[in-house]
Amino acid sequence: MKIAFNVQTGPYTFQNLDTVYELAKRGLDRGYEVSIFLYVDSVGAMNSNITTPGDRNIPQRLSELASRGAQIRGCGLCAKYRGHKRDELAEGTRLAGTAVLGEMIATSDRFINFGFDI
Amino acid sequence: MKADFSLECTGLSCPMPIIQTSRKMKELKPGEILAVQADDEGIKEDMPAWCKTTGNEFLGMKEENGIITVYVRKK
Repeated sequence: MKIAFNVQTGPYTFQNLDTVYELAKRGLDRGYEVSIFLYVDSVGAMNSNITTPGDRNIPQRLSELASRGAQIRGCGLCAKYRGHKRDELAEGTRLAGTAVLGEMIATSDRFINFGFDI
Repeated sequence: MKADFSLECTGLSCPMPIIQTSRKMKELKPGEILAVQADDEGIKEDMPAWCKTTGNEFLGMKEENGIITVYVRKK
């Protein structure tokens, strides 16, 4: 089973990244192949400079998932428009583009989008 | 690496280098090699993924002075 997630909302403002973390963790526990694409504002969650005293650290959570084999990719253009630098990326995460998102959609058994609730 | 065709995508942002590549590949015959130059770093991950999705062969890449050249063989 390959499960892929797309997240569009920023960390700490919306709960989508927390939800995806929990789902991804449990997917990995079950031996699933897990991919996460961070799109639009969610690319901010890849910034290793984020410090959260006494609270969950989402970039570290992403690195933890990557160290367990999850593919974590973010939109390079979204990062550029928000001033995020490649050398600030959390360990195990990388910037990519829509072809990678397309591949995740095409090759996954389940694809779940966590977008804006308008 | 010697390419049969080249495509200049410097200055273009994602997803345009991939879209231009997809269009250009329609002009190639099977086995011919296309070299794509771009300065959008997303191409480093995108081109291998696009090749995997389309069945074309990703042959490799090089980077000089911020210009990334990727090589693709048409299936």
